[in-house]
Amino acid sequence: MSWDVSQTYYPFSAIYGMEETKKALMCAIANRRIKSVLIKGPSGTGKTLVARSLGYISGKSIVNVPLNVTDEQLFGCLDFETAIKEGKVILQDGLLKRADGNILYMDDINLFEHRMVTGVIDAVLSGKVLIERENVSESYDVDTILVASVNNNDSYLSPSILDHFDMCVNVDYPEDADGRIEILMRSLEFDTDPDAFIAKYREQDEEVARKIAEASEIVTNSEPTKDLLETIATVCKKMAIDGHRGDLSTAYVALTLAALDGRSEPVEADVVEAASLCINHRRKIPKGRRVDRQKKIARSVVGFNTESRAMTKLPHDTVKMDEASADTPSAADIDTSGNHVSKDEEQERKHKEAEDVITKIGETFKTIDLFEGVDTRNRGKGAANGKRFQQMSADRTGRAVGSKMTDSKNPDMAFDATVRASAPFQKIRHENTDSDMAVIIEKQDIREKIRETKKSSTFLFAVDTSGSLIIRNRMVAVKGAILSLLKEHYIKRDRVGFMTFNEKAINMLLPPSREVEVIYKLLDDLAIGRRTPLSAALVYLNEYMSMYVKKRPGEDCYVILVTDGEANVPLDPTDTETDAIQEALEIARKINLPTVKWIVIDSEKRYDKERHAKEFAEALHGTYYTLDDLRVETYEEINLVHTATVKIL
Amino acid sequence: MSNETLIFPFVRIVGQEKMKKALLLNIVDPSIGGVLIKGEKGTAKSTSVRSLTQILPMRPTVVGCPFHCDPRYPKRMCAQCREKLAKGEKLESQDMPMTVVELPLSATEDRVSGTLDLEHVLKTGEKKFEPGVLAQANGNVLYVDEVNLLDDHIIDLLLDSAAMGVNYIEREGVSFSHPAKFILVGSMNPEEGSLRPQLLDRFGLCVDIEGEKDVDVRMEVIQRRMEFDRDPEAYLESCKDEIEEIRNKIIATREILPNVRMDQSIIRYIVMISIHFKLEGHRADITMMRAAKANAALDGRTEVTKEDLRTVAPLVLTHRLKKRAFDEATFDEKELNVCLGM
Repeated sequence: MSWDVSQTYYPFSAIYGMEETKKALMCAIANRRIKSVLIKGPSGTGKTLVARSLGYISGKSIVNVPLNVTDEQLFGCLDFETAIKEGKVILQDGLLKRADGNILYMDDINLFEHRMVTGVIDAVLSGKVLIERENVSESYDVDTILVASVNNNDSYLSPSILDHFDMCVNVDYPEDADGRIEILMRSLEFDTDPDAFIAKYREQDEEVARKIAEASEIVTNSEPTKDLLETIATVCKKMAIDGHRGDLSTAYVALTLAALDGRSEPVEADVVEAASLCINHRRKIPKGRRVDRQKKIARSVVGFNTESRAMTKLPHDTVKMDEASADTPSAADIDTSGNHVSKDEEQERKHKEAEDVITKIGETFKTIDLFEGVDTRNRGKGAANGKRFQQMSADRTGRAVGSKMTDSKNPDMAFDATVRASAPFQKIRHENTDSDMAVIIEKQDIREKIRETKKSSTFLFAVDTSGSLIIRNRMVAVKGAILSLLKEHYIKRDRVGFMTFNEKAINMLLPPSREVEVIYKLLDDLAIGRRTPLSAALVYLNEYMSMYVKKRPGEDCYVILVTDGEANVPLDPTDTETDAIQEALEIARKINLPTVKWIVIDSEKRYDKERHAKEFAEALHGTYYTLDDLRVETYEEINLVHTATVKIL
Repeated sequence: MSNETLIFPFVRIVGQEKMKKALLLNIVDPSIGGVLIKGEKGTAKSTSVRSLTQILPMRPTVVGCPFHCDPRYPKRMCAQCREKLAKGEKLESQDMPMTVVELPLSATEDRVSGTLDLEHVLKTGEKKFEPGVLAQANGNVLYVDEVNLLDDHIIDLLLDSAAMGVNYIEREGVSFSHPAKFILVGSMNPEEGSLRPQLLDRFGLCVDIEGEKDVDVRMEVIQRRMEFDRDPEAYLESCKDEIEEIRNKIIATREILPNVRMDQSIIRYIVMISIHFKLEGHRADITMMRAAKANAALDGRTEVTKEDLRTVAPLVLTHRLKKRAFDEATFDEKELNVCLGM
């Protein structure tokens, strides 16, 4: 039953731009040792288009992995037809078997289950699929190239998955009008008469295919030299790459790039290009930082080595620099076309870069995963960063991801798994029983579906809008922190609520809902008071949340309390005797809401002062952050925050 | 009971011109990529979409094919039909009306994409694929009311099939693929939450609709509805000619469409618009191009003009404007006019 629908695809050579992506894909086809390519880019930039066009230049077919694929279809499972009819246990081929000798394509790989992605990558890289399930114990070879795409707007891939990709390319789509016009013109032409369009580019596609075939010939007979490996190792070391996958990929890609150019020895430019294809995604770069620099480092290292070793230099430029000067402005900088960039331009760019960074800090904070740390206890090992909202579903909603044995009287039956479980026994059962059914199912065969849903959570921001915050101009920073957190959680479809408190009123401005956009307006227009009735706010929060968790059992709730902890209004405002801070702390200690987790963000800026907010965090058994903690600029800092969180726990 | 007779007629819906336009453009050229209708409750969203059934033209389909393959386009056929063709068999053709297939919110994944035929397996011990909603939707309109409330994984599935025109099933012991080319129409009430931006981009067009504010117009809406409720059949009968007229117009437009030419200057304008509004990717450009062509054809012309762009650009742009954090992005007609030099 594996019929495919024939489709008319856009020709490879007709794709405008995307040079880096095309190069990477050509390399993967030409060299059997390059197994995986990841294409990153915003939606609508042609990621899928280029993957589908590969058939024209490789002669292979593109095997698509649909998003709702199940394990047994992907890897293979018991063939129940044969089992029922002949009582034989044989393997029904999985999707991966069909990908053997072809190209495996996974669109939006970040939407797949982590377990499945790991399984596929493992099979592709090792070239072998092992099956141990449902009475089947088999293995088969699979020689394929994995091409995956990911939309960089709403995606997260764990570093370990990234590391398994030999190459990762960012789709570079043209910003200029002429490029976009050209793309539209071609698209119009393709729409009007696809067949003629394909014919028009056939020759070019064949030319590419020929080039790949020649390169393939060259690479099968060449091994990376010691010099090449040494250069690459230096580059990787300089860029602080963990593990050795990057080194190997770079070496193979450099060889292949040279081969595509008809040479058997890679030159400097090949290594630089290979490094930028293979190493960028393996670096620990803080989110949002430009990746251009890596090319520079690679070049500088290569340049250094070129001086002393026998590697061929490109005719148009010679790079001379000290090893240490890689990052200093004095290093000669060369843009991709090989022209020298003038000093002034260089200065100007640096200046601009610096400016960018400054404004960024003022605007929104880089999102760090506040909730990740708080949470690791409950969500277990499998819950990798971006997937933390996935959980096994107890009711019958969500995506079915597998099956298990069950003793439930009314199971959510996984029919296929049930039939497979019963299949090998059909011959015997038919001998013993008289039935007109082809399949006799007994109780022990019944399998139940395992479903997975995306868990939703509730985040309630409680913001202290007393004067102390405003005077010190901390509100801008608070807003920034809230916005960046919201941006993250808006995508994930959680409920977000917002309340403020000052001496005038405690305001539930937005009860937890999915309508997050409203908060932006609220933030712009906050009523400001002078004093801080923290006790009253805590009492209110306690009442509100205890009702809320009753309505939504099983939902994770977080209260994010943004305050400087300087409570100065006691519960009874006329009472002048009570110490407001002590009172509020007392209340905080009494709050007992098991499903609610507290996060206290300290809006105090001065370091010399007592940190009352921290006391509140402890009283509430919550996590504590300062606004500066939230301003994450480097990976190391993220780790620091994480470790800090773990400690608090 | 035939549903068709009981739906308020499309041609008598008061106002909501943008929504009607967006729907018509998609019917004329399904490659535009569907419509997302955003609006408050009671603004005739569902009525308009359901009533499309009345005006959708007939189309040839292969007799007995569960995917309603069109015998005119062998490339888009399902494997069974192509196999028959390859064997030299003649495919029997039958004219069937294009319909609106509805996807209920409670739909499960196996019903959407299709699954293993339970009965067949138990009886014969052999596998058989049981087609789902996507099979039914092939060549038709697929309507999802409250699309924002649908489970994420089902939306991903729908948009994937809509984009590729093929439904790939690799689950529950079935490995199968069949054509699933359909016009995806979603409607939603923005009060109940929104869609992920990435999903928004996958809808070709989007319209924001509001209830009519004018008293006279509101009166008109109510009167028509009351008249319809009194005697639906008579009311439908009374506008039979109008329905026929619009159906013929769709057929005529489809014939003109392949001949519509687009000047390079128009393409330049399209690009200028997307650059001005800072749109990422090319989906918006391509959609605008197709929609402008369809709009010209609807108007009976074979040359795309700036005026066409002015009509379709808001439909293409509203949901794609780049939102910075939670910035409010509203579409400004004036800016569009500046781009078009009007």
